[in-house]
Amino acid sequence: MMTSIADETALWSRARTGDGRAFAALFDAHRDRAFRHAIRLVASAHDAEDVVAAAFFELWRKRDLVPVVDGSVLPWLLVTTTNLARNSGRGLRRYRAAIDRLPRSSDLTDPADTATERIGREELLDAVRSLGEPDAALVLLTALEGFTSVEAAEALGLSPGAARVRLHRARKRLQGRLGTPLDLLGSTLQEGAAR
Amino acid sequence: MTTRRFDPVFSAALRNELEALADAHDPAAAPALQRFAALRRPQVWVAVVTAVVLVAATIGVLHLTSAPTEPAGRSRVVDPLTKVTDPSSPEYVARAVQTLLHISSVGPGGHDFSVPAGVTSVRVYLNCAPSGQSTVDIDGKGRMSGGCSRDSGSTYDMPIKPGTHEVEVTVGTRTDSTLLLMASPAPTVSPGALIDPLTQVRDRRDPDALVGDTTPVLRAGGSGAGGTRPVTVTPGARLRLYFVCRTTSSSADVVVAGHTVSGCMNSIAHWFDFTPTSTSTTAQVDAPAGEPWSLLVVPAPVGAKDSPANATLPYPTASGTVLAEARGSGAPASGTYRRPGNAIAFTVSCRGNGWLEIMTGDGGTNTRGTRCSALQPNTTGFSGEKDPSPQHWTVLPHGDISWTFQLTSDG
Repeated sequence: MMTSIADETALWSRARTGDGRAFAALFDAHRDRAFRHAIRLVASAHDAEDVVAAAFFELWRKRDLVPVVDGSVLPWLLVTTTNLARNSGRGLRRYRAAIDRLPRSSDLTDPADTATERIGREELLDAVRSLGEPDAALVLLTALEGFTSVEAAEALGLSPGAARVRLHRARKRLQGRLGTPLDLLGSTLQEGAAR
Repeated sequence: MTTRRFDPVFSAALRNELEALADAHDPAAAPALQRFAALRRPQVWVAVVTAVVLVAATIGVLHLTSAPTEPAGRSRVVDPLTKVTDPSSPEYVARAVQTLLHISSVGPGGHDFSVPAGVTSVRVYLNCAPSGQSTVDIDGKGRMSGGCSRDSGSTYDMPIKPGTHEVEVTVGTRTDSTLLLMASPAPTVSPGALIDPLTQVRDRRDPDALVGDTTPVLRAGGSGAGGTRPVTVTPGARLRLYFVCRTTSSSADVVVAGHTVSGCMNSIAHWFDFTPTSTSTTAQVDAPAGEPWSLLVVPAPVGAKDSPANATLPYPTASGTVLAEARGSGAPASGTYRRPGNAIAFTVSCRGNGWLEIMTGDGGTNTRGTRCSALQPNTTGFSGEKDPSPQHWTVLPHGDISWTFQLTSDG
């Protein structure tokens, strides 16, 4: 399902005032993107589903504080997904009972990762964990999700100038730690996530 | 190449949860601090009084001029996929189901769906809002018609072959509906080696699996007539007994705490709930010579009732020609009939603790989630072409119930 920016602003407005269908439509619109983002950062598809579920619960809980960037809540969702993934489950604790109550297809197997892909993901996650919360989200939004630094800054509540400085330092720290140009790593992971 | 995708069952359940979360929200309820700060302003009080007067006037006018309508929150269609995969739901089928088509839409419409090799039967669920009449027609052959509501739980099964099929849904032009077609679960009576009832009650794919405590109170096995086994229980505890054997038999029985539990099969579909009057009792098995069996006693699940003393139920008054009929308690039954070419229907009635699973050459149903009653028989109708070849029917009672089954044709 495609949701245009104009549609999404209206949807989000309706969702915030208690329109369940509108909130469900937002879930339909952004579920797969959030899932693709999460699966790069956690150990399994199962964990990625948990992170996405928690991100949407957070979206509802913090609905009065969520910044809408360029007519969309997606940047905020991706930032929240990043933070939940890098917190290794701490952020999910609030929603653990609700998530565990939801049924799953027990016969769905998580397609095996290639060793390279898994190692790449674990290295990236370790490196991202070493960054502070806003820096990690800044890097992932710009390097992997294709947002501009201005859009990422808006989603994080930073000024564009501060975001640019933070991003520059964070990229240098990551490159030093990973020994790989960040853009190359990003494209590798994007291919892996699409597989 | 494989694709990592969001689990559709988890997704449907999460979507429902989020929708309900937002629906339950009262937009008037602002955070407490903001509310109290706002109350200090006099203009807020003026606005509140004005709003109250306007709302009262509006409600009065609406009350006088409009017909009663369903509240918005209640008109939401319940997703049957969530229900069939939720063990706490009466419509629960299994944790994992094989979805063939799962679609929400507005108004009537047709959809294509594929049936993979190995699937022989499709189960149809349709919920809609507002409530009204509906039909679901598969390939112009299998047709379910009747009332439909937001959480009707109405379902039927029909045989199907692998390949591409069409389903046509007829509802009101502005009616929201959710259609679920899923592969019917595999037969619950295993044709192979003797099953382990403890493994089976813990297997969430089995429609009779237990969710609560399954710590065995007694676990025994043998062949033919067995000795007396002691059963030690906590005072007042209600227990559930499963008696499993490789070949379905009505002559095997087990006597436990003064009750005789008749019949066994290679399935946990048949069980018996009882509350021993003594903390120390016995179980004694009698089975045909050489017939392997397994006996399991576990705590009965929360909400279970003691099984009633079963008696044969009378057949309901049949309309039309009776093509086949059977009745019984506990053990399954099967037979054949020949399709006459005009509309046929089967009617089931039952009494006791459990549910019935029916399968015929023209379709099937189950009474799970609906009231299983001897007073109000449940009838499902089908149309089909004349076919002189024998069509099979099977009745599989789950739990401890007495039942009747009648297959009739018009005229």
